[in-house]
Amino acid sequence: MTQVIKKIAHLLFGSLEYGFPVFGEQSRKILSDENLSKQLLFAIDMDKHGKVPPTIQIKEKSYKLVRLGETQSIIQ
Amino acid sequence: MTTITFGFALIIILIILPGGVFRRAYFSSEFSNYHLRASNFSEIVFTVGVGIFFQALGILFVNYLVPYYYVDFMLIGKLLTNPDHATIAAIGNYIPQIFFYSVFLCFGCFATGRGLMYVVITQRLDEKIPLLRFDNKWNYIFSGKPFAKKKEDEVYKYVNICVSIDDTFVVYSGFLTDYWIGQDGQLEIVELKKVKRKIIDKSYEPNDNEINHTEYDFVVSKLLIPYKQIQNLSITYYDLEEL
Repeated sequence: MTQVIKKIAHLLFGSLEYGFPVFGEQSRKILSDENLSKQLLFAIDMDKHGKVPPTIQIKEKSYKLVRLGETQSIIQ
Repeated sequence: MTTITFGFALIIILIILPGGVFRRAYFSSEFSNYHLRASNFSEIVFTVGVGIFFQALGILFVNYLVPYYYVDFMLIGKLLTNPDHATIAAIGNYIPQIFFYSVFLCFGCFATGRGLMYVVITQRLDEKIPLLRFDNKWNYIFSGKPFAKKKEDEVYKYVNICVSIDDTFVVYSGFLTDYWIGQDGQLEIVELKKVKRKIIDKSYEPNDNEINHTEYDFVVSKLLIPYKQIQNLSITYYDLEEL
């Protein structure tokens, strides 16, 4: 019920919050799991040092880390 | 009621309301900055322009497809310029019809706005056509959606943020999870998780064999960094592909 009211209020008056979450369901699961987040951080670390990142095991499935791109901005 | 009040009420009901409803529906995704900037001339022009467009469609619909009813332009002209008792009385007989027409038009505007937004986002037209880009430019950078192969793919954003604290440069690295924007649409705060902190050794020369940057895990559940303190920001976008 609260969610419905929130959605209606959001539609009528705009966002009541200033935040824009940019992570989805799988990221949420990985970041809340100590083992998975360690695996992902290690794989990213390997990638940053130009080495082949190891596969990540999530519930008996293997995943490969793929770098999609990079953005850099000098602000000040 | 004076002429000005009548005219103003008419303009709001006939033009601004449908345009505003469309705008509200179309700009309701995370790609849009929700805060209405009423002072922004282009937004007023957009709202009024869309309102006139939908009103024209509505009038064509009523005049050509609805039997027994039509929109009397002479009456609207009189209402806007010099409404007399006869004009007001003529309108008074059709209040329910005018009300239902306005409600129907607003629903039409809402459905068109939401439908158009859905098509633009799902077909990724905003990434291909600059004119269709939504105004929250930060979401294009921080969501990493333009880098995703498919729209539904999840993109992992690993960021390095260089911050200056008391003449010391510190680099925070972690997963970007959230960001806040202010009333003016400018970035205010970025939120990181699983953060590592690295203090930059200023005496380091690129030719040195030994690097003395100290790096350690920053044990906080969330780290909020104000945009004003950010010197440099880099984001690497990753995907997890199932083998």
